[in-house]
Amino acid sequence: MRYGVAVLSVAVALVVTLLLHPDALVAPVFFLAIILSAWFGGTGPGLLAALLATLILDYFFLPPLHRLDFAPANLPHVFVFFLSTVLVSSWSAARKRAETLLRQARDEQEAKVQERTADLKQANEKLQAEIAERERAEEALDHAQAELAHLTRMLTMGELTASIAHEVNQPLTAVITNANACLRWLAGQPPNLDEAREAVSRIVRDGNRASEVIKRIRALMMKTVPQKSPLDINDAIREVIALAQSEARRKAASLTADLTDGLPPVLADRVQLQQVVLNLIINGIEAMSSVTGRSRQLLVRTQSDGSSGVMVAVQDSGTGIAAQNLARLFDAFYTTKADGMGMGLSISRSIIEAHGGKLWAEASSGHGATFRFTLPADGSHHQTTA
Amino acid sequence: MPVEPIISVVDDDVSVREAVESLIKSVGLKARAFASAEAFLSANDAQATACLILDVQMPGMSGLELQRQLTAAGYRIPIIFISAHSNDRIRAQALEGGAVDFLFKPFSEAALVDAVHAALAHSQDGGCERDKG
Repeated sequence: MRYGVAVLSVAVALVVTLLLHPDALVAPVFFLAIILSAWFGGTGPGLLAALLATLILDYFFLPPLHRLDFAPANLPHVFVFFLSTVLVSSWSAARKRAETLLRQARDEQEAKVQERTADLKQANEKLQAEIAERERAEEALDHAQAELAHLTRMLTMGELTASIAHEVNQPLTAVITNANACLRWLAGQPPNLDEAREAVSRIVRDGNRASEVIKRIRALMMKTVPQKSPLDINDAIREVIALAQSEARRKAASLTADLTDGLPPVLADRVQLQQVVLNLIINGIEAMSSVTGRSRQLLVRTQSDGSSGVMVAVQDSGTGIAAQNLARLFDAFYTTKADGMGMGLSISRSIIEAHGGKLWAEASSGHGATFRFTLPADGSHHQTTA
Repeated sequence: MPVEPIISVVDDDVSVREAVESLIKSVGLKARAFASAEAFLSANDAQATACLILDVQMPGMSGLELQRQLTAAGYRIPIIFISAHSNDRIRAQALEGGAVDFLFKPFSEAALVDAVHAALAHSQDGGCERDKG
């Protein structure tokens, strides 16, 4: 194939020179054919073209014409021509090789560059993925920390009630005992007025002490300024329900939610609101702990309050509330539980009222009790701060 | 000659301590109050005490520890525990150690007075005397 190129190009050169027949053009036309042969064919075809051209020169263009006799008179001419064609051929072939090598080198280099680029790209992609992974991890950590802070704040209410209970219990015990002692001193024959007076003084002192405790606690609560923001009541309740599910399971109660879509957002402190809901749920679960023979069901519902606000209802199938207890239910330290502090509902009511709502209890139709609270819809964007 | 029974009150809370002491006195009994278990022990009143009204949680020696020490020393003083914490485990432990009663604060006057009378009846059976060699 490569040699075919040599034969073809020399043949074309011959035809061209025979047709044009200007002697001066013979050498350049054949040189061109040889250069092309060597260029496209390499050293071998170049040399073949040089040989063919030399033979053609002798045969067609040197006297005697049309004889391949290499007459001695023509030898210098033929020799110089042949030498020139060989030189041209080898130069062209060498040039071609150099170009090829150069191109190969360039191609190799380019391939290498591409390879390196691909490597870099891959490394970059890996790095990006790692950065994204790290960002996700950091986000998850932030989220977990927020959850923990949230949970801690929710639990603080329980700890606070325990502390209040103990702090107030001591002076309360003393007040009751002193009052009884006082009655006895007065009932004596004759009454011991000095002792009675001292007992009453102690009652005053201990009553003040209890009041101081309440003041301290209130100051403490004031420190945690409620952070009100517009929130979706259903979202807040879902979180609490997720939190309380394990407690419900532990007490063999089913805890379900029936949340109405499309309720207006309420302006509330998320944590405080969730404390209230959690408190009502835990109360409901405890109210059902002695129930046997029927299912223990706690249902949390949200709906419109009939005007523009929302209403939340926590309905249990427990033992219910005796009519005479309904009124005292929200008093501080009033409890029907063996180990209750009697603070949960009292604080819950304060929280709801501080949000502009109402919290109350009613007997459920059938068994158990229902606690309801209302919250006004967020109207903050209509209000101007005074 | 029968000695007038003394009821000792041990509670670190001054309000409760003074109130209980006054109530016991108002029933016509003799009472002494101590601010700690250590104060009670160092006053050497164990011998004369016919009934001990004892707080559970106190800084320093706890009520349960005082009960153990008195038992170990051979005293059989009837003890009425009073506690601000409703802890069933501690209650069971106290009763196991021989306590006459275990009352949660705030307790009713009747519960305390009844417990004291029960304790005195118990100690008059000879239970409160220290075992003598």
